[in-house]
Amino acid sequence: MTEALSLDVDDFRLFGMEPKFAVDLPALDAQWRRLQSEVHPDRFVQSDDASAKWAMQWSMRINQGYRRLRDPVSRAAYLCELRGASIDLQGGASVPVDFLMQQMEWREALSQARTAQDVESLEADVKSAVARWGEQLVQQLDHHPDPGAGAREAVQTVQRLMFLTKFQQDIDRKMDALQS
Amino acid sequence: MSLLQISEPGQSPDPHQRRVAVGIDLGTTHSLVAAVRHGVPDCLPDAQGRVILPSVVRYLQGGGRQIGFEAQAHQAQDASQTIVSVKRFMGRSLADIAGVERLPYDWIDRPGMVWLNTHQGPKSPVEVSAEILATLRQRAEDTFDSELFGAVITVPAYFDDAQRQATKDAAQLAGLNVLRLINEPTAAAVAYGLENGQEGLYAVYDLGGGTFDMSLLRLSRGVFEVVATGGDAALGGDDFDAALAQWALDQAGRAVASANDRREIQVAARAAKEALSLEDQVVLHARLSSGDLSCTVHRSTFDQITQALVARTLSVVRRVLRDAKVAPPQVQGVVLVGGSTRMPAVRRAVQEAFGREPLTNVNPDEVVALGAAIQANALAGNAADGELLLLDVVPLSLGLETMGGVVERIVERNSTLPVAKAQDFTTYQDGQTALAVHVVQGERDLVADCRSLARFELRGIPPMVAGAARIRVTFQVDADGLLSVQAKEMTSGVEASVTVKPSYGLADDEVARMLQEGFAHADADMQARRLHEARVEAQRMVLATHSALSADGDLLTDDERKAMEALIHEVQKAAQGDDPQVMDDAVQALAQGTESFAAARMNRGIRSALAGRRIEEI
Repeated sequence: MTEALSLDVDDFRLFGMEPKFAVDLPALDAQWRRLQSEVHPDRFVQSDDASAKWAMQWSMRINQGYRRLRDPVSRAAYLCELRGASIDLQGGASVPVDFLMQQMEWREALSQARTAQDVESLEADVKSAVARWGEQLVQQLDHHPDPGAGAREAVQTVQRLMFLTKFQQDIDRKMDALQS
Repeated sequence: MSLLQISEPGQSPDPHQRRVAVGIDLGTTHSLVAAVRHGVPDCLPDAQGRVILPSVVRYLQGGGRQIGFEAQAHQAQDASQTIVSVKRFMGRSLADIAGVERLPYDWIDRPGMVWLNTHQGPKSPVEVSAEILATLRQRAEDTFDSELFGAVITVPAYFDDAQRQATKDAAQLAGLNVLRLINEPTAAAVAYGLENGQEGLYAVYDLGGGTFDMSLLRLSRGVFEVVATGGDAALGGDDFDAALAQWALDQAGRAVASANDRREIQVAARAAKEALSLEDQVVLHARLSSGDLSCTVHRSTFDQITQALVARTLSVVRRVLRDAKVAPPQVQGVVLVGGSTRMPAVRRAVQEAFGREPLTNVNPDEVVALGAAIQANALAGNAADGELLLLDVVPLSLGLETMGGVVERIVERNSTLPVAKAQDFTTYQDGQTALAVHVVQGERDLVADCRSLARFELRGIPPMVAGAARIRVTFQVDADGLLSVQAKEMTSGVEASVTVKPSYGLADDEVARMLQEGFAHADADMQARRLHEARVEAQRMVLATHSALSADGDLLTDDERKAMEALIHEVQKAAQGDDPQVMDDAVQALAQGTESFAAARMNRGIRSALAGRRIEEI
């Protein structure tokens, strides 16, 4: 049995992809469906118990990897970790002052939003910031001459994007409250 | 020259290998059973030719019970003993049930799940549901004149863990082998999508008798992927009836004097509601104990009374679309499921929300059972192509209580099943040797606003300074959507772990007692049943291992193969005897002996999927 895969294989290898930030999402989706078609527990309902057990393990592992690669922020964080740069939010993340100021401004604007239009214009601002930081991640993770140094630089970008993801959830919640 | 296989399309080539598997829609107002026959899914009728079984169970004085139409006919004369909409009580405590004061039953408030006092003693909703399921099982066995291999049972997508577990228990109590619990909107999408060969994004709007679900699915070459789901497990046609009944009483300046009156006006309201789907105005007529009540209802009046209920469904629709990051025009079709979607106001609202006319070409009452039958047939291995795959999601986030009654989310809603996720926690006191784990489900931040699923304690943590222990809590949700939780201290050599299944008040010995009472197997002796089940399992394992060997036997050395064949032989020998324990042990040994072979086969499958991609890309 050559090159057997074990459950602790990295996500990129599991999906047969280059370990890069820029990912071909339709190809990832198709690969996920193809892998699940092989290992999903539904395929092993009448199999021997050992196969059913492995099917469950692999199916969970494939879903975990898919979820991690599908989302750009978790994919970037995962790449940083793979390259030895730890994303540790507890460890006193040093977020620059200008970014903190921006955050506070946005939060203020959200709490004062009275209409769906107010929230939508705020959401547009957040989306363009997310796109900007995403561009930067491509540079840091895929085009840096020194991948290790690039990953260390990317850590801060990832942390910013994590804040923005959380903020987007607050926006969604506010939208819910305004619409119901 | 090879011979053509003579078999009907969609059927297993060897009729002797065919297993009878059914799909069951266990609904709030009515239930159905369906099966794939000659490659086509069909709802199975009763002796009178009716496919629908009203989900009504009546307990008679002096023993015996009526199920279905018979029970339904007597509901207004014997309301307290005639249980309708029991699905609303599954996995629910008394405090959870909305409008409990208007229901005529003699409640027993038990922790986890409410029970009902009947002429035949206390009954749990699980037992009542099992009566309905056993009736459908009997119908299917009579139809095929054969024992069932298994069943797929549908549940609302928005059912939480307690409700799912209760449904599975009811099926087991009814003597059914549960192949899978699947979500109702997903089943509907299967029936609809396969029939029409659709691809792309589809929304399923499912308003039943007691529950509302909305799911968004991506259909792609036989794979049905649920992208997002949402709903309200306590919103359905029953609420429209109740609103109309209350309006009629208010109009007439009347009140109900008894439980039977209450049921009478509800039944009358339901009839008026159904008639209003076809006509602009109807007369609602109810025979109350204080005299007849009669009033005219216009459709526009009815729409107004129930507007708030329709609005509640639309806010769920919006949230699901937002979760999926999808705008209404991207949705290629909207499928309507459930009898309540016959209401014109509902259809209009859905059409406005999506900007397109909803699809209704499959009977909304039958579509869920038909989809379940298709999946049951595939799981039983009867479908020739085997292309169908359902990828469903967790409907509600799962988490743990942390300090201050705040929820730490572990598994996010809309995670694809099966899913496992682990998170590390630590102790907050020096020398702490135990940790209380409280598992909750819901989207709110405070534990008090979520549903409590289980509590357990991890004991035997070696004394350490605060914050030094590393306790890994692992959540695992299987393909049925059922949760198990494990906690383990990682730093010490001492391993303390516990696995729980969330409980809702049915202890194992209660399940045993219900089985003993044997309502589902009146003639079956428990011992004989146990022996039969062990033998079936042993035979299944032998077959499965043989087929694995013939498919991938080349992965084994000669010695490995011989060892495996010896284990198979042991199982065969045990199956010829009459000791179920010996059979179980031999099956267990075979499972252990095939473990690494199974791992190698799985690897081969994954590698072939990876290789398949490369070929397609070229």
